[in-house]
Amino acid sequence: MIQAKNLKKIYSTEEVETTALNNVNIEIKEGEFVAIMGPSGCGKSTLLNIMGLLDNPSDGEYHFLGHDVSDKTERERAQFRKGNIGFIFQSFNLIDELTVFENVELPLLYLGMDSTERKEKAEAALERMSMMHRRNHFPQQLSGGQQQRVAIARAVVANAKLILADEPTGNLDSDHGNEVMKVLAELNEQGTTIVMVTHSPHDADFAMRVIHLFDGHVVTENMQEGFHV
Amino acid sequence: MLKNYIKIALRHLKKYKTYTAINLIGLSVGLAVCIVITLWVRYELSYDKYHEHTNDIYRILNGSTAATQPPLAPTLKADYPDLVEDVVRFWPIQAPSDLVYQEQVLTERNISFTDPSIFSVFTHPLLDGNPETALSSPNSILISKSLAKKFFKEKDPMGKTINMWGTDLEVTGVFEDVPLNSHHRFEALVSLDLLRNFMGSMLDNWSWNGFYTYVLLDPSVNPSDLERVLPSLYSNYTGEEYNEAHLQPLSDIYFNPQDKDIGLAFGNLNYVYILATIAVFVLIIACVNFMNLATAHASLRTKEVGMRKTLGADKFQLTTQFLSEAFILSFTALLLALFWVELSIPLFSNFTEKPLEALLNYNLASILSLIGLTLFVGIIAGSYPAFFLSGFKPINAFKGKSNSGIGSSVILRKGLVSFQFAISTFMIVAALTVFLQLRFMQNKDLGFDDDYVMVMEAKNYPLLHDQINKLPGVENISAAYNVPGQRFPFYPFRTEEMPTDSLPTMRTLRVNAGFLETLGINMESGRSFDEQRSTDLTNSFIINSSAAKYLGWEEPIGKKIYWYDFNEDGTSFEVAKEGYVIGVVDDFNYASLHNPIEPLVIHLSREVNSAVIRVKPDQVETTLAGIRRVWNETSGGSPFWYYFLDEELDNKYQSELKLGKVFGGLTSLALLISCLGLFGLTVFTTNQRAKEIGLRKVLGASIANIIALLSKDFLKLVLIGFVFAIPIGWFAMNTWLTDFAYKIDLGIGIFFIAGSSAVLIALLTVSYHSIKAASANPVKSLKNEQ
Repeated sequence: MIQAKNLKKIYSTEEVETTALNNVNIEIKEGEFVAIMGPSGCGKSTLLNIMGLLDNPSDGEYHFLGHDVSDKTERERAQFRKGNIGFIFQSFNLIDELTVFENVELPLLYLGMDSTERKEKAEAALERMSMMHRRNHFPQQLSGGQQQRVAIARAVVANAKLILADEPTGNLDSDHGNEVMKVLAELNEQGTTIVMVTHSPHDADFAMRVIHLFDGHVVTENMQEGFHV
Repeated sequence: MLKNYIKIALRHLKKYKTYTAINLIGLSVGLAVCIVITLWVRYELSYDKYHEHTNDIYRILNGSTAATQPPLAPTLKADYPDLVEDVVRFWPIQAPSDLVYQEQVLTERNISFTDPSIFSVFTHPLLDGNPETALSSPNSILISKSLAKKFFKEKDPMGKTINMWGTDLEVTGVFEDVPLNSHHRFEALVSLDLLRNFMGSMLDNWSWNGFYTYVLLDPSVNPSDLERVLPSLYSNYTGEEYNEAHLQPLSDIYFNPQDKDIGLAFGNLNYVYILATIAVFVLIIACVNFMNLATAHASLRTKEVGMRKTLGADKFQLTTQFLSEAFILSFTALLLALFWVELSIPLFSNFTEKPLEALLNYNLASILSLIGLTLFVGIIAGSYPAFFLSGFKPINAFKGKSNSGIGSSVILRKGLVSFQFAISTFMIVAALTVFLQLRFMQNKDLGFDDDYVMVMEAKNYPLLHDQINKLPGVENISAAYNVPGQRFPFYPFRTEEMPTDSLPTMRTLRVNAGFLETLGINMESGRSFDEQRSTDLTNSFIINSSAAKYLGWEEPIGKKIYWYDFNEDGTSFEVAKEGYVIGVVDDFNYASLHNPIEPLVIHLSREVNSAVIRVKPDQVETTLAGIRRVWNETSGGSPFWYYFLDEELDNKYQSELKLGKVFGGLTSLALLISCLGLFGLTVFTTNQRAKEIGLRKVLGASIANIIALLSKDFLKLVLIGFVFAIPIGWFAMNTWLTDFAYKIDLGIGIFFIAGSSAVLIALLTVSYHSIKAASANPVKSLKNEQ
């Protein structure tokens, strides 16, 4: 599904050049659950952004679903993202002015779906995340754990093939955090590919494979033996 | 999809109340100003357009004079029937006339003699009577609906007998009141044939001007076709070469009054342009505000935009979303604007004395144009922010980077603020100039003393004079044919130095002895009129300095003047008085300060129209009562009217006075809107820089330091705007001032005041929030760093 060859990402200002990623080679197959770990500033988020087609590499190749997307414009990247990739963030990133339901249906709106279909799918996703009872509330009225669950519902509502999660439990206490990881594991069992950036070894244990990054390179890759259920 | 946009737009507006309020107020005020001024402009441009044949009606002008020869109209119709479909003449009676019905006497000023063809040329619907026959008899009179009500209350006026000038006239028609947007108005019409009883053969005389001649051209005829035949017509009937006659379209008259014009009210096309331009300026300022606030506000929405893009929104969808928000805002602003308009129209109508409410009808056409205006404003004001916002990169959303710091947008925003203040400062300069010029005109020494001078009708003058003179509060009383402020007529004259066949004209003032003294007019040389000297009545003249200069006389005293008037039967001019100059008066402004002082010749005459009375300043009330009593005793029941000369002269500048007020009002509104925008921007900038401000305070900055820091940037922008406004203001105001023969100097003072006011106001606006931000606890802003 994902193939990254010799990925390089350099940020330049007038005076300084920062190499965020240097020669990164990664392959992720469909149905995998991969965790990316490393200290702060090692390039994890940059890598995730490129994988999520939110940014272009400065050098190297990036193939997504068999297509070379290394050099695409924002508009072209948006076309690939739509319906294929779902995002989960550390700080939830729900839109404050929209209700829970409206937040979840948003990707479907942009896919041009009609309102009956949207309602069906959004409600199904909310059911799955046990958040139907709060569908008319606003994000500010929910706890952190609840907000993340809504964010996950939004990420899966369009049946995305790939879910990218950036420190999904970072802002949650351990109980809620566990819940979220369980949901991700379930999703993966049902066939969704998941790539997760995390600090927490506990969370990484849920993944099949862990990739370690340091200073922009891949340092090690381990296969995990057996995962939590 | 649209429903979704509207929903979120409304929620967003509710969430950011300050932003919404500022934008709404600014935009609605801008729209309201636009709408009100448009109504006024439409009204001004509608003068005389209500006639069915407006486009084919022309007035004949002799050069730049509106008054033409009496036989001109019938001659045109008789000799050129293929060019001229019909003609009509007007002779408005200048002085008030008494109309008598049974025991009622109404003194009416607006009575006009005219031809029966008036109803074929102009459109004045008759409520009663037959337009074809109403004026066919010389003993007919038609009255307006209002006059009928005044005279006859609810009774039927038709067939009743009204006496005017000693002649019985039968009411043969009642016409709809002449609309206010007409260059001339009349309350009663009488037949020109009646005038024959009083003027006799002067009606057939080609050597004097006094009538207003209108022609209705066949639609296929070009006005130049008629103009071409006029010179030969004139040479045929007057025996003289005259090429100056030409046609003036009816719709042109209101804006282009000529010499000796009917003169009820005249419009100034320049003011129409000026106000229309200002209306556009104010709207632009409001739109600029919107753009500025929206782009500054955008910093709060980076995350939202980034998120939406991540979820699949493309640029087009986002642009549409933000444009919808702009439309919702501008539509709401429109509703609020209409509220302001309804509130202010009665005041504005009163102020301009034009019935503007009549134009404020919400028919399909106006609703469509209002919606169009809103859409236009929404697009203009909303498109830049929409494009700006939808261009945010999703990746910046997660980095918490706010886009509003990007170079090009900041420069644009700064430019817009400067632009707003350039316009506002220009308007301050203009308002100040108008105000100062007005004050100058009202306070200028006119060369005579117009304080506490009362003007009234000089009926039974000798008796009136004696009685009034006895009143204790009266300092002086005299009389004249005309008084300053009225039009002094031209009469032919000749001097010994001129060739005998030349007959130029000069403005003439006929007075009673003591007039010059009553008005406090100074003698430059020689002496004033002396009642005791019989020669003063029969052969003495006084001229003003301008006349002396014009005639090239270094020593005017003793020079001979021949003064001409109409002969007995009014067919030509003859010497009515020949005499010698006994004195020269200092030039005094007997006309409005728009005009330079023209040469003037003054002589004694028993014919007087108006009495002038100087009253003691502390006895005005009692003296007035006394004069009123004397009038009632001596005038035989005529209504008593009077005015004070200084007020009447100040009235000459009515249109400037009004312009000044309107300008002042508009300037304040423009400033208000600009300041609203500045306020909004300050709020955002200070919020953005909260962390920086906190840090600086921790490092030792005082509140004053912070305020200076925050205000510095904005004040720079205001000053830049001011610098641009200077040359434009200077040029525009100088051009306006050329309308006046006597004007103020456009000095540095005005610009200095304008600039410092703008800076001061901007400073006040910016400081409110700056002080708040500067006084905040630094811990708060540093802790919230996410």
